[in-house]
Amino acid sequence: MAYSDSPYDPPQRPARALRLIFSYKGSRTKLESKHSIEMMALPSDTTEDYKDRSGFWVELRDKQERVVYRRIMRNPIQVELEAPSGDPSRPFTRIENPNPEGTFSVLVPDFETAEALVLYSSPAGATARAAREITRVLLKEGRQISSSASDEEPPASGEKGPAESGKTPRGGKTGGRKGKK
Amino acid sequence: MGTSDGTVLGVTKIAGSGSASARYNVVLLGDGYRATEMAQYATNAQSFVDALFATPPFNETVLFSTRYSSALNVWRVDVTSTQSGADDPTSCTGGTGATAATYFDARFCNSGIRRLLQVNNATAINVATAQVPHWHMIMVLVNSSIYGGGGGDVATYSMAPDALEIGIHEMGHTAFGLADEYEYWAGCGVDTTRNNHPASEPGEPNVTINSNRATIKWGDLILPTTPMPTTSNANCALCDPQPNPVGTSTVGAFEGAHYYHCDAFRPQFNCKMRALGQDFCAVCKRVIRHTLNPFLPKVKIPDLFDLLDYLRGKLKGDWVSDPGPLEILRLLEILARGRPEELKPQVDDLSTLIAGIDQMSSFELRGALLRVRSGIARLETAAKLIENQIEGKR
Repeated sequence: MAYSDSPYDPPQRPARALRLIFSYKGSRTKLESKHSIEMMALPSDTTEDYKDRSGFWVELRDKQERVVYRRIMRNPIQVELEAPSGDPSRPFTRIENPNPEGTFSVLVPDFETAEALVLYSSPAGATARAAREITRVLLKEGRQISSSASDEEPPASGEKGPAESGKTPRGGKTGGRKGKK
Repeated sequence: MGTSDGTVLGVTKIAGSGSASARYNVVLLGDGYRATEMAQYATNAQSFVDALFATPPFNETVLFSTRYSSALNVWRVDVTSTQSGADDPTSCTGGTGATAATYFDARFCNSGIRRLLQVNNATAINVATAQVPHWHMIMVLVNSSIYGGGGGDVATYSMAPDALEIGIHEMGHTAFGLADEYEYWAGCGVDTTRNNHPASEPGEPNVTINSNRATIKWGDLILPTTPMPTTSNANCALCDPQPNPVGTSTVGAFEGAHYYHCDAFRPQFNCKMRALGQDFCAVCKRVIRHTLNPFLPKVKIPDLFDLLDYLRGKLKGDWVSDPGPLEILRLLEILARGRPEELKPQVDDLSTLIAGIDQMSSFELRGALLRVRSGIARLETAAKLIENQIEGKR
């Protein structure tokens, strides 16, 4: 992956961006809104083949299905959670979220050539497994054409999250964010 | 509850000099601050800015007075809550049972972890979008002295001592797509399923399963003398207890990363994506720079002339017989062509200076480049002289 230290990389164009707001519940995502804004999205990460990589990223694809933009992101679908542990030497702890539900936003350049926005994610409970397409939005139509259950497949051999292992993660029992008051 | 428990008062830009459409926009939201606590919220927001801007690479100089922090606008959205603090349920050990009627519904003890502090993401996104439509990242400051925070699309941290570091770590994830570099899941000595990383290469730029010097993704930062892998974990059932065997700034392949004890590597022994209170590692810093580069302000040509005048006086240089530094202006103009539609020379003599740059042959351009590099070296020498003068006057 090539990263430049130069502050003089040409600014990306166009200086318009699309903000897409998604809601999610479990493994299902739903496009709630899409707006074009006069602002710069973040620069693209590599557009080389990302087959078999793990993690979460968003891609813009043109008519020929070529990747014209890719941005690697923290998985905004909170199938797992990072929390401060309070231990300075090991300052974090992680836990699976059995009832992920919420809202997230994706910001991409508003490229004329971009036909589809595609989200990729590793399966829930298997952060280090290869990511696959979880949903696709046809940008010209503003229509979501797929929303697959990324956590339906079993994790790869040898990788199990604490919930799968039957262990209770440090910090107490698991449970989704409950409504308050 | 939630939005009925307070009011959005408005927004103030507390850092940054560019328009919202040209900069990276960080939006700060406050939760659990009553109307009478807005001054405290402003102080807390400023503390975040001060800490972030003192963190490398945000504090690094790009050119002259421009720093990477110059790429950012920070917006403080003032939101009052009916009550102070956040919910602290007793279902978590140590929870006080306190409840607070707040605008963003901040609550500790999410998913059974007391320090996991979350807010209503949808409300946070709605408010940020309404107040700063150009936002890139949302951070919620929660007015509680209990240590806590959380990540995700909307990051949070509390006002406990040191909790601000959680916010900057979470920003590494949310704003820059960085992975965690620690080697455990629930905790060292707790995990039983985190021995060996699966064979998939992480998409994130700062962790890898590849320790091959020739092909590792940050290989250009590794010195030929650095052992590869730089550390190996002798017992994959546990977190590696060994101390750092090399210098703190050494970039290599340190085993133990991305929630696994073995078969996953991080670039440096320590990093803010591994432990709080640390700097970002070299790879993370490079990713941050790369992300912010398009948002940096353009160099102001008149300011450069002022600087050149200043240096001319300091160095008693003759810029006519030795035009190297002036050639820097040519270079900057070439670089400015990343935005040709905005290329408007602002002073006549500069227009003359750069006239014909488009018509220069490759040979002439190479010659200019050599002179520019020579000029840059001279300016760096001048900058060092000035720094020494400043030091001498302290």
